[in-house]
Amino acid sequence: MPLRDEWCDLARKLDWSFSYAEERQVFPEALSGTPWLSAHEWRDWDEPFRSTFAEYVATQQKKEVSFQAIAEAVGRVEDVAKLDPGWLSVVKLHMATLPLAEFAAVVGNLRAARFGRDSAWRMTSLLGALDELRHTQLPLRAMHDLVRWDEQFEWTHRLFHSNDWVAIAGRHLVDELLLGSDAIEFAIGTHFVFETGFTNLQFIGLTAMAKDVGDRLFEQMLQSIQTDEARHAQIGHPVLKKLIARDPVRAQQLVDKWFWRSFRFFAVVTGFAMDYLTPLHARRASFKEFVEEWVVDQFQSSLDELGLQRPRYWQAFLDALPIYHHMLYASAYTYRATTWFDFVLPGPPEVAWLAEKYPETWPQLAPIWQNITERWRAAGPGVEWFTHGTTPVSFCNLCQLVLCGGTPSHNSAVFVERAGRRHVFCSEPCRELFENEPERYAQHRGVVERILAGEAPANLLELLRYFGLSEANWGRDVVGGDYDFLRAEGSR
Amino acid sequence: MALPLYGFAQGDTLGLIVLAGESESVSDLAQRLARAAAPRVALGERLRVLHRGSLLRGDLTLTEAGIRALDRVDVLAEVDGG
Repeated sequence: MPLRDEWCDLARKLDWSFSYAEERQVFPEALSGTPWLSAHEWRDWDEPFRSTFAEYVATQQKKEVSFQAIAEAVGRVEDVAKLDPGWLSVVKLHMATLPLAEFAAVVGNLRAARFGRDSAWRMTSLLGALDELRHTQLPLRAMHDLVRWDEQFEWTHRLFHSNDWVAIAGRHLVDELLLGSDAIEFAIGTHFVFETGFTNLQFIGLTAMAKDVGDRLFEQMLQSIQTDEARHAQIGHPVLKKLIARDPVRAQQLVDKWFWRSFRFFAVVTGFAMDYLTPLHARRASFKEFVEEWVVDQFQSSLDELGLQRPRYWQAFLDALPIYHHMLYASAYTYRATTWFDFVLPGPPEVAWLAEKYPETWPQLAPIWQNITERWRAAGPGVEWFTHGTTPVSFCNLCQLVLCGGTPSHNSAVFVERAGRRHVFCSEPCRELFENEPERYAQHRGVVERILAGEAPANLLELLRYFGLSEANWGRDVVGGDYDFLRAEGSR
Repeated sequence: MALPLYGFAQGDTLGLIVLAGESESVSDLAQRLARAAAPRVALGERLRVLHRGSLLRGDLTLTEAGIRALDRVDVLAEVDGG
């Protein structure tokens, strides 16, 4: 046996008995997770990668050199400026949401590196924390020069420090999943569900689209991140296996919860990118097709392998898959000034593509885009306000996203009275998740609560300022409504 | 007094927050919601308001109709004979 293999296992399994404190004090349940099991019960914890620190450093150094070479070769402002303007919105969406969410994942991994219940788990989580620090830095490095070129790129650095509704929704998810979870919930919610279940949408699907669009920097960045994720995502599996053996009900509950919350997140970030913002020639498949391949098929086989049932909200997810992100995109298009990136109006070829990809739901959405298109035609290029809402919108008290559940003929918003307060949810799963842990969520104040409390203005223009946006950086139509198809004869 | 309401227009993609007056008529509320949703849906002139499962008379004030703060109201296009 090579020397490395001899000492690797010995070095990563360095648990010891405590003399001055009880094990429960060293690993309190609030941080280590429920159910609390003794070290003896975790001692067979194992994962397949078994990297040493020296190997890790050598591998990461090679990746850094490779990424740096790409950034120097094709990451200049003049390279990015050549990209499709819709695609640039994909980049802006990711550059805003990615770095600080990844940084929160550093904290989550470090918590597991201290409070995970086996030394091998703690070691792998330490490497995971270094990974996530790298994933914070990569987009910041990649986009550094762009902040001087484009006000919206500059604003991507501000998102999570602002009161923008996307930031509020993002923080609500990230704070709970990455900053507020104990080591067990973090491992299952982040590593098993979020990373294993969903991030292939980004790393396989969106990476392919980046390549076709000609954005090599974005493609390389996602690929480089993916190689790290593939390693540390493995932490989730052995933690979940242990939990299934000892508390299968909690194991299932955690998978149920984070499956639904992850789906809502990816519907925005990946759904918008794949079905609207990526130019048609670069779309290899629809968001729904990618989800069917990488989540429905792949994740389901992971669940089967572990003997877990499909997530409780599986049917709600399948029902929402062909429509939810469309509802959200049409809503966001008509409230685009509340974001920091520009939106694409689907023209006749895009509409035909969407109708083909979503035959069961597009007939309900087509009239909305016809209405928006007619209003652009009536107003003419540059008249953004005629296709823009002026009334504040309402948000779900769980996911903090706009109430876009259900269909245009029936919005699935549900209302609940609790402790003298009315709560509203976009869907039954969000309602149920909230009511399962009201003490965790009830104090949060979303945009509507802030408006009603007088903290945030009800006037939309003033609300944009509260969001931290200004005319220099708020979202518009990507070409200001100046589309050839709006001028074409006989296109009505 | 202003009543914040969750408003949903038939055929629309999202819920809105509208501030309405207690003495405002149901018809006026319907028009207000339809205007708010107009960038996405064209509901036409003849509108009905659905509240707690009942279609409301347009001439009632919101107080008379039993609409309270943070209630859900749905505005629908009136169909012939409906």
